[in-house]
Amino acid sequence: MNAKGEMIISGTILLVACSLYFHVAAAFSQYKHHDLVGPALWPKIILFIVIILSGSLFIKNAFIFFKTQKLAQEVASPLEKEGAFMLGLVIILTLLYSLGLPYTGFLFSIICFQFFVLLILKVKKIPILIFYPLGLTLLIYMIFIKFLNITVPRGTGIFLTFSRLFY
Amino acid sequence: MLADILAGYVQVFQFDNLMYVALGTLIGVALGAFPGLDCTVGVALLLPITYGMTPVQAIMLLSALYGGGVYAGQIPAILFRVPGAPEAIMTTLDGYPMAQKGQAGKALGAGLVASVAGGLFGVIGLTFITPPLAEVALMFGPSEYAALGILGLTAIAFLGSKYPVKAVISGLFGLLFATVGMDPIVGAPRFTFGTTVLMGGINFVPAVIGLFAAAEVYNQIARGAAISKVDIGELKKRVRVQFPTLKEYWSLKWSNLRSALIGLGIGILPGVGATTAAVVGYSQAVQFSKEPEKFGTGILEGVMAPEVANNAAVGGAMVPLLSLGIPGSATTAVMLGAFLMHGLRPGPLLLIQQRPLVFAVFAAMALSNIFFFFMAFPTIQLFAHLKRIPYALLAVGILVFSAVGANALGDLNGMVMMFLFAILGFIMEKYHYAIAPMVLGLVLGPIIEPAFRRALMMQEYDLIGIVTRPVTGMLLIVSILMILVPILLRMRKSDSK
Repeated sequence: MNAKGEMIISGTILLVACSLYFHVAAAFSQYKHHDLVGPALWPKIILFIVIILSGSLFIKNAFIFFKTQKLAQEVASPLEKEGAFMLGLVIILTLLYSLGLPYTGFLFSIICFQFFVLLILKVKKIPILIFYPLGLTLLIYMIFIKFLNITVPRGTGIFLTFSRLFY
Repeated sequence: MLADILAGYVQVFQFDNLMYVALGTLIGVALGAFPGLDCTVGVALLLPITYGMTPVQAIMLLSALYGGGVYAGQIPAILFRVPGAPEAIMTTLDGYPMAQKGQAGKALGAGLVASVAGGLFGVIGLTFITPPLAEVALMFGPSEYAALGILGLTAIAFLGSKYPVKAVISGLFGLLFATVGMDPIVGAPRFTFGTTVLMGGINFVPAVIGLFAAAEVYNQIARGAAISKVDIGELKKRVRVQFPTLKEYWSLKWSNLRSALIGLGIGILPGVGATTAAVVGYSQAVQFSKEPEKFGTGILEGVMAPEVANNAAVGGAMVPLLSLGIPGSATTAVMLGAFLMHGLRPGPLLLIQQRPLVFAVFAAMALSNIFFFFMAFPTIQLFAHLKRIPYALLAVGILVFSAVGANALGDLNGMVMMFLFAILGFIMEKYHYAIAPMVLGLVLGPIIEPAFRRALMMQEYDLIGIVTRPVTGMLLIVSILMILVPILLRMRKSDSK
């Protein structure tokens, strides 16, 4: 296990975030008439325990890190490096999909999203790249829009016109 | 009681309901048989789809999926030594050697009968244990409820037993996420940071879909699995399911009965689950056997014992959920979300307010065992012919279903929430913070917090008065032991190393 990564998680993120949240929770006690069992009580108890536990994890990992830092570091395999790069692209694509959905509408964006995720995941066969997103979109359309009557974004402008052809 | 049981079956035998049970079982069998997908992912992905169903249909579908999913893990475990679900891990030990000896059909037949028998035993246990346990729980006050919730949560030490401290932190974060939104007693906003989006709290469904389904896809992509193909082996011969003889079954009656009792008992314990049941079921079969050295070489008992136990645990895991409102496993934690989504609160009152629904669920679970008996044959044939499946296609399917499902129940904010939880789940997996405790915390938080605060108010802020109440005290002692024992065992283990 990577002690440095563990230190970052248990120390920097958990300890700092929980301390900040504890500070935020302390402000809930402005509800004076409920002070003792007010809204702050429960979050403060939880955060206090998390701070103690993550502090102990941090000390343990710091000890491991300083003791073993001269030893061989964990080296990611080429497959893992490529995987990490792909994951980064998929997350960026997801972000773009979430941001663009209100403007491009559900149907157009979901097909594009699938197409590009397949490309990122190195699917090269053209029939799969075309028919898999279309087939899956049809399935989702039938389940969520036709069967469940879920309201999904229609988009704006030309995308709105396109969406209105279907729902 | 008998009338309730019959009424449950009458309800299930209505055509629509029957179809939902069949559909749930089919999806469960398909997901369970596929390595990398399990019934927890299946239940999480199907949650939004149940939105358009009646509560009875939704719960029946998900219960049937749970049963089918636990059974089907044995198919690739026997054929290819790759457990389709974690519950089938022990089945590989004797199932695969049987397949290598040319007895794959017999192993599959024995595993199928064992699963049906174990599943039905679990449902019988569920039917007769749940109502009296719920009656006991009706006598509980807020302090007992808070303690019960804490006991349910301490199961996290078992759920993430490899890293108990991290599992506890994960569970506490679940409790913390549950505090986001309006305070349940005074109505004050908490951790909303001035936005209206968080006023209603964290929507459970997008969070669960993100943590269980999308996060798993991210993990597989990061490991490079998406570029490769899920190789589930290759079978040279056609497989025909063969059932062992009655004499063979009869000779294993005590071993199977012990496994069934162990499975049911372990299933009832919060957080332990069907995988542990399979391990203990197999271990007891070895311990009591006159020829323990034959285990692992491909014998019927080695296939049947874990399969009886893990399927009996499915019914067992539903007992604390339906009687106490405390989930018994990761899958039932997600199912608790389904109950809440349909406006139902599992627990003792459910048996009073929704008695027909509860008995319909019992009947649906029994029926799903019969259904998967018949569905097993085509599934086995299908899997015997599959050689390689590109993970990329699965990944895209899961991501898209997750996104649309989260969007369906929580608009665009739900979808964003789902992806944020997927990233969180990915980081947690990478650093060995178990996900199931967080989900348990998320569902148990709204039960524990108000009960704890009400108990404090009722006892006039006397904490000692609360913890010294007999049932509360006992539950809290068990909770403390459940946290400490795995930690101490681990410390002892590392000391001896």
